[in-house]
Amino acid sequence: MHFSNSTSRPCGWLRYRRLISGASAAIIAGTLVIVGGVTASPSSATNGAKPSITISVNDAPLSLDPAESVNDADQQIFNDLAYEPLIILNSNGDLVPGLATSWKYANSSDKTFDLTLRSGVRFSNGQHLTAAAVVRSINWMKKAEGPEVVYVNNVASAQAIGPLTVRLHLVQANPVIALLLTQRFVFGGIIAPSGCANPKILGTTTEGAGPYKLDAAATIPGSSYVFVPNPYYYDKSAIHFSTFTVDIIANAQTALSAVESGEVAYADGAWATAAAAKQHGVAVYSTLCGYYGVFLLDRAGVLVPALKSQDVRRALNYALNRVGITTAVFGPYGSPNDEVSIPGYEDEGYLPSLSNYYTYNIAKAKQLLARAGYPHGFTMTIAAVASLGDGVELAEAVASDWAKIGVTVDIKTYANLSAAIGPVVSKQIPAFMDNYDAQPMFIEASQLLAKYAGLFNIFESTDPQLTSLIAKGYASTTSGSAAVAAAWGAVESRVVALGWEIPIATGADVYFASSALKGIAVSPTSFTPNPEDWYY
Amino acid sequence: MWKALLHRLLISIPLVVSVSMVTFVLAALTPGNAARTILGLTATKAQLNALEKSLGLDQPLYIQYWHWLVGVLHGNLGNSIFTGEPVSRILNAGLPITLTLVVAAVGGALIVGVPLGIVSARRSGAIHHIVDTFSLAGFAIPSFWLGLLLVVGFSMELHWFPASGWISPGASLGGWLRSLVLPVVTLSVGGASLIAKQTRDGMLDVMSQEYIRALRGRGLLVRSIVYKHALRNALPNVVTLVGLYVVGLLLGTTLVENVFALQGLGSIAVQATSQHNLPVLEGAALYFTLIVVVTFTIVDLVRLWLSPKLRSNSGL
Amino acid sequence: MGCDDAPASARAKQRLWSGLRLAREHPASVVAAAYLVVIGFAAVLAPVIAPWNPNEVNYNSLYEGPSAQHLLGTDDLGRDLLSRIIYSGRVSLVGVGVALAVYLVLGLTLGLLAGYFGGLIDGLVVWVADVSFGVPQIIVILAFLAIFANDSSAAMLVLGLLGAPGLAMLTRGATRAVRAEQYIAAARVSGLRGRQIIVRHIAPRIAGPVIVQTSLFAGLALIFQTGLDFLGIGTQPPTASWGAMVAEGSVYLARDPWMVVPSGAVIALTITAFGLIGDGVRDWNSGRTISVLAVAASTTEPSSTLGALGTGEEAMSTAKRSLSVVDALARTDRASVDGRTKGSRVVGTLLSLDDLSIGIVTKSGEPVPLVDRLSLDLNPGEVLGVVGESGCGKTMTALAIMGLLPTGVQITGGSVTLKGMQVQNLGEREMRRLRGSRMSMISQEPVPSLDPSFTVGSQLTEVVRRHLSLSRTASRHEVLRLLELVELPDPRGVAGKYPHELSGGMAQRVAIAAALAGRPDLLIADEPTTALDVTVQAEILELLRSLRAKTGLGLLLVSHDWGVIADICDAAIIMYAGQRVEVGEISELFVEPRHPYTRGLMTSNPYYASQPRTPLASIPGSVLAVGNWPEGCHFASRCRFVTPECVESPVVEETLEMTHRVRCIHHDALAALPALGRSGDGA
Repeated sequence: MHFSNSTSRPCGWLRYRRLISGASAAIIAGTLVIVGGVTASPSSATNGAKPSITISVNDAPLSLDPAESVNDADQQIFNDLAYEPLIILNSNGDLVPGLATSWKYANSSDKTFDLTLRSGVRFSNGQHLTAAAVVRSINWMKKAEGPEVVYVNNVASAQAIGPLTVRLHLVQANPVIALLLTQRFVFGGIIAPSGCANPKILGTTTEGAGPYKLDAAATIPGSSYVFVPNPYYYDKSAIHFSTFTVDIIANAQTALSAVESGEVAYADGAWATAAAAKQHGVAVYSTLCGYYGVFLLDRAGVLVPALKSQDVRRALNYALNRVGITTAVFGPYGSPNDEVSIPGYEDEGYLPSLSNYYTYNIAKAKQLLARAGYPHGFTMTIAAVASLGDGVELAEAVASDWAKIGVTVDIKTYANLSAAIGPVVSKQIPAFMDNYDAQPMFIEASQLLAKYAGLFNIFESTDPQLTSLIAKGYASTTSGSAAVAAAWGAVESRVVALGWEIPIATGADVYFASSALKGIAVSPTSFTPNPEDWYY
Repeated sequence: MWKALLHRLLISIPLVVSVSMVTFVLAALTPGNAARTILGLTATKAQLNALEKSLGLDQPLYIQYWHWLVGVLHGNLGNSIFTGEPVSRILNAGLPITLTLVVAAVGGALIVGVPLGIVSARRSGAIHHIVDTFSLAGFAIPSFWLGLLLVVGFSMELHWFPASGWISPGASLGGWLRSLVLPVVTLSVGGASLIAKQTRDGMLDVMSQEYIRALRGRGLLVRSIVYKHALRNALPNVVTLVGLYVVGLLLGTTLVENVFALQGLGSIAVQATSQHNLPVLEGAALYFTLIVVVTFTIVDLVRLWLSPKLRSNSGL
Repeated sequence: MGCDDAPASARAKQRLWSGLRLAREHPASVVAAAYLVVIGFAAVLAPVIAPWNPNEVNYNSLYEGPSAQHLLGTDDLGRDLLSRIIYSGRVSLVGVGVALAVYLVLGLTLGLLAGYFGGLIDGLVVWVADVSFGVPQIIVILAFLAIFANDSSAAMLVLGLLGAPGLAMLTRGATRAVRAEQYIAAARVSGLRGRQIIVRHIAPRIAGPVIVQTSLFAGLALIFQTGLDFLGIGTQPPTASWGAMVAEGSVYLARDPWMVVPSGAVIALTITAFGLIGDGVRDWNSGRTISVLAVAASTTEPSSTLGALGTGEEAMSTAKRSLSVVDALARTDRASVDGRTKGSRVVGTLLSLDDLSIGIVTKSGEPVPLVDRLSLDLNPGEVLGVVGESGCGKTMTALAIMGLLPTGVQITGGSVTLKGMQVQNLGEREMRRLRGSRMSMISQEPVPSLDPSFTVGSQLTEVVRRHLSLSRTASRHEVLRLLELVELPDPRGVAGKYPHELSGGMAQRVAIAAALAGRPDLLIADEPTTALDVTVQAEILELLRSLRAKTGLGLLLVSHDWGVIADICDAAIIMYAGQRVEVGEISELFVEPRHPYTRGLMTSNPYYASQPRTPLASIPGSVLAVGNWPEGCHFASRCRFVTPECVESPVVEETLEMTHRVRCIHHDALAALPALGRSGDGA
């Protein structure tokens, strides 16, 4: 008989239907479980007794390759976990041994710097730490010419003078080379020889000597990076977690919710929601760390001719309601600032007398604009990266203020840093909103102000007076701290008078964490937490 | 059935080719140069040329496209510009998330929408208005807004569900399910309303057919008539709607993945767009289109299974 | 004729009234349209009506909720939310506008071209549309945004391009349907050019569905537009946009949850407005179509020739069957002719209708009558015909007996008695028990009376198991037995077939088998052969006859075809405009019709045409529209025997002989006419 399969008993077919839907649900669920299991969490925990930790940051690293990385707080966490630096900047701001156990200037010229390496250290891939490996890593950093190459270019050349002794020949007398070799400035994190030989893999795996290494199989790039203990790490007791997962959560609110609910133990914080976070039992860590502002690139006037004029730049500075913006956006986490340095760096050039140089004065701003030949204002673009905290919000506030003097701001947002780098590097952006972590003027001058500073001076603008003052600043390094302060103070004055940049306020970095997580500490000189110090 | 599959294939090939070609051409025309971005600031002209040559960027577009196509047929979608990671690996990591959302949303929409449509077809009065309102609301409320509101209510206030993130089922089945609830509810609301409306309209249309009256005339029970006969005949159009709903879900999942910080295909595609990460964007276009093709093929097959008339028309 | 002779002002007034009525019947759509107008104006006049500059930062009023100064509150920079929303309207509405413009222009053009000209263009458009339905719009738009970074309008243009094929398909379908209609052919013949045809005839017809589809697309476009802004790849700050405002609010949910509400709500409301307009237009369009059809149905009845029977071919077949009348008359002793149906209520009457009235329920309470006090009696084993033309109420009668009247139609009086039990007031549940087991029905279109999704065998099994408690195996045997009973040559083969694989005749046999599965006593056949081929008709009637002989069931045969009636009926009632005008045995009716209508029907049979090349006799005038029935004789307006008394008061039926009754005061005049025969004239 060839009847079709229908049961005409009234209940029968309903039973049949439920069975089908139940079976389908089971099949779907099973498939999903299997599919999801493909991306299952890592299983390579070496020590079952240690807890796992998951944290979040706002922005994914441009590349896991340290040579390609940008030195911001988020990226530093990745580098900290996998690439131990020669010298460690601990949370108090002290320099303590990392891969190097001791260091000194070879002679009084401060142009040669020797380091003695820790013995018996192996990279996560098993290779040994030797002076040759260090030299190779430094050479690779120079060759790679990544966004922060200006730091490693303080080193003219590196030399292995013993199996565990490295000699660095510096470009000039450098009082801060030890600081430069810490995790803050990237190139101190040594890359294993195989990584230097085959740098392509550094985009997706880590080849360092840090306490953790990347579990590439469990990692979802752009979303979730899983680190597992480095089996070769020289101090196993310093490894506190069996897995260390770093998730990317761009939205500050979502990150806060994740901390509150316990999904992550730590997240980048936000000024606006810090108070609410505290109310919900979240631990809030903050420290003054740098300043925020509009960083001008096109001082040469290529894209925006108006920016070539010093009067125009000063006008822009005068037109900014720093007090208003700071109160609105930063709350208690910032104060108005118009210098390229912050309080606490007085011996590096910060001048309290300059702090109110550009008092809010619309009339004066308009006057200056008119004198420069722009009585009706002009248009310019400011780039802002959405994932870097409140950059867009600040840009909007700046735009609103400048609208009052006739300057129209088009804001170009980029979802994250990696999207912005390209246009900046190809000279399409006249200015961008950013924050700058405070650092010794010795370093800042080369990164911010020098002709070949790179990212911050892509149009290579110069000012003869500024150039000579910077040279004097470098020269002063061997003349005692008073001379150093004075020389860099002069640079600061010139920078402010030029309207070289348009700083807005000093700002604090804020971090949210679960109150159960210990070992988090930040200070003005070490304002990025060191994740390897954390524990439950 | 083979005729239907052949027809679907004949439609799908130009679809895949045209979408990938359009994406390729558009993305390749973007300002900003991949080589420059990779090599950094102080790259010399010579270095740029060398890198472009090695990346194949110096060749005419159609040759680049051809190379890409050949690569695809071998399973090689190229590498991400920034990390050098194989595009297929990047996308394969996001695929389970997006697929889970799509499948769960369709399931949720059917589970809620079909019974609602049936009830509304059988009764009149208030339920009609409810279904109409629900249908309109589901269509009108933007998914990204709904997701946020659900987060405020169920995550921030009640702490029932996480506000973000994807917990893989391997790590914790319960956690995985919990992390899915809010995103899936957000996505299926729209679909449920569409499906309820289509089910109701379809059922009403079927119920006005001659054979329904004839079945009544033969004294069959209401239950049989509604669930066995009417529903069976109304389902093919519901299934077609599900196919179109899946196409719409490609936008929906992109938005919802953003709200809930899920790194699915949509998020990957958006990031690739803003980074001008050309290979990833092309790969994402391919994956999206393949999802559509597979969905439509399944829709075709299910419709054939449901409807004998379609079967004979297609030469089964 | 499509010409409108009314003066222009009257037409305009008409439109105004219909517009107002539209507003009253679809308030939601009107409100929605008003809302969109308001938003549109607000966007255009933003600089004038927005209370604040949308980008003006107010450092002193951050994160405020609604207040007198800021009606919708402020955001994280103290900017007024209401002003930002008003200005954002520009961005979003421009974007939607761009998408709609491309969508409409491209979609309509392609659709009209494809539908009107067909051929290669049509094939190309269909193919492109098929491919485009699968395009994942979001990824193409992303690729576009990779080149035209942050250009929201470019993205919307792409969306319009991708959606246009969908509109083209809709337009094409409607265009093809309209083009195929006869009045278009007439228009072309009369010299109208393509463009005029499109504008005057096609455009108004497709306007409704196009508007509905477009409103849905507008909603989709807005979702895309705001979604792109939400993702940060569309409109850039500081330009306010709804989507970006939702994104901004999402960052500050802990501090100020209110921030996301106004912007998201506006998006939702605007899309709702698009949807409501679409709904309203669709309801208005379909309501209009329905009423047009209803009017058309009741007023365009052809004059009552055999034209009611359709083509000349059918007329000839009727003629052929009329021959069998003569044979039938010769067969006087039919065993099954007993218990005349006429008020002589024989005990054991199978079916009795007593003054049954059926009407359409109206809002005003007074039902519009469809059937007016109809009575008939059917005895077991008997075949009673119900004759009349379309619209006389015979199908409604059949449905009423079964309890299957459509919604809005009810029994308004009288009774239906089945085997001694009154059934007109029974509830659905009780009726269900009777249907299929006591009484069954088959209808005109056999294939559509079977569920297309199930095989013949499965449908029959379902009915069998419903009425007889049999095991699976036993019911399968029973199904085969039924298929043999209806004389299908290959029962097993047929059982495995689907309805669309059956010919009309086979399907009708199957339908009969399904009707008899529950062993009913009464079978109602509503025009069972009308849709079938000539030869098949005869077979089906033969089958019904033999079934009646085998099973003894009573058959109520509804038809407009005299040949069918004559073939197997023992007696018949004639219906005109809801009333029974004559009843009698077949021989009586054929030889001596005593009602002018009956006679008219007889004589308009081409069989009786006396001379070649003379016009066929026909009954002048046309059937009264339902609802317009007069008090007196319904046939009066067309009757040549009419006198003033006919229309004064309702005509009572008179009994001529035991089995023969007529509702006419002039039946004597007819008795005087010559009997109908081959040589009779057409009088």
